[in-house]
Amino acid sequence: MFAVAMFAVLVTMLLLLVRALVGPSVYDRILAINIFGTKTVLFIAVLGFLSGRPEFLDIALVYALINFIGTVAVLKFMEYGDLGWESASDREGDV
Amino acid sequence: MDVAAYYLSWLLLSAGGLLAVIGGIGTFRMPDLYTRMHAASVTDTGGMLLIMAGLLVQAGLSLVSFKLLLIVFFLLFTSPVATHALARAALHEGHKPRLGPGAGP
Amino acid sequence: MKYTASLFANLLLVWLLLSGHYTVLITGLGLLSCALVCWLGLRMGLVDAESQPLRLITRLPLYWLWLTREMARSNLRVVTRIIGGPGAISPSLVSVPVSEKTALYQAIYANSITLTPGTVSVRVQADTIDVHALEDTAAEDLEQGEMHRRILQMKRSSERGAG
Repeated sequence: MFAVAMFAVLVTMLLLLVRALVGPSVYDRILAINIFGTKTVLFIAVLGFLSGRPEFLDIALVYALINFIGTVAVLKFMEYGDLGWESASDREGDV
Repeated sequence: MDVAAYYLSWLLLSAGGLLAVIGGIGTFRMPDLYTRMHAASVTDTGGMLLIMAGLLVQAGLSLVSFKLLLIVFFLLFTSPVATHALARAALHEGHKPRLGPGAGP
Repeated sequence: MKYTASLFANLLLVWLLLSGHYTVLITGLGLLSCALVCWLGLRMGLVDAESQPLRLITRLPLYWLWLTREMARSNLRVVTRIIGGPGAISPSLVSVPVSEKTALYQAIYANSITLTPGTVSVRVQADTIDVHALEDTAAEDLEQGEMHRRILQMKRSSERGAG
C-alpha cells in the first residue's frame, strides 16, 4: 500500500522534473521545483512508513522548512535582484 | 477495526497518489504559467492532504501522528505563501496571464 | 504577559511532543531553549496579538472545517478541467474588494483564496486583492463573498467574545 503511494509520488516528481527542464520561463522552473520539494517531503514521510522507521518524519519536517525558505529566497532574488532591502524603500511590502 | 483502518488508508493513499499524478499531468496540459499554478496546487493541497490522512490512519494516536499533523499544518501555511510570492514576482516581471475561454497557446 | 506565557507554553508543548525523550537533562535543555526563544522574541518585539492570535483560536477549527470542504470541491473541479484539457478552461483576472484593513484578516483571506485550487491571489493591495481564476465560475463564487463573510464573522464573534 505504501509502495503504491510512493510510486505515485515518484511519477509526479518525474513529471515535475521534466517540467523544470523544459519550462519556458524561469518561473515555470521555480514552480516545478517548489512542488517537487513538497513531494519530497511526502516521499520521505511515506518512505519512513514503508521501512518501518517513522523517525524519518523529523527529516521531512526539516525539509519542509528548508524548501519554503529556499523558494522564497530565490523569488526575492528574482524580484529585487538582491536578498536584502534596496536602498530606496519605496516598494510596499515584502515578498 | 484493523481491517477497516487498513482499507481506509489504502483508499486514502491511492486517491492521494492519483490526485498527485493528475496534478503532475496538469502541469503539462495547461497552457501558461498561471494556469499551471492551479494544476500544481492540486498536488499540493488535495494530494498532500489525502496521502497524509492515509499515513495518519496508519499511525494511530501517538507522537508520530503529532509529527504528521505538524507537517500538514506547516505545508498548508507555507504553500499558499510560496505560490502567492511566485505569482506576484511573475506579474512584477511582466508576465501577462492569457485570459478568455480556451486560452490557446 | 499573556502572549509571552502562551508562546512559552506552545514552544514547550512542541518540544515535548517532538522529542519523545523525557530525561531530566533533555527536558531541562528544552525549558532553557524555550525561555531563550521567548526572550529573543520579546527583544525583537515579535510577541503580540498578531503573532499569537489567541482570540481566534476557538473559532478557527470551524472555519478550517469549512475551508477543507471548499478545498475538496474546488480540487474536484480543477481535476475535471485538467482531464478536459485546455479547451475546458477560461482563465480570468478579477479584483475582489477587501473591507477590513487589518493585516491578520488580509493574510487569512489571501491565503484561503490561494489554498483553494483554481484561484490564486496575485497581488494584495490596500482595498482589493487581484485574483487569477482558472474559470469564470470560480471567480463568480469568490465575488459572491461567502469566504469573505465567514472570515469576517469569525473575526467579529471573536472580538465580541473578548469584549
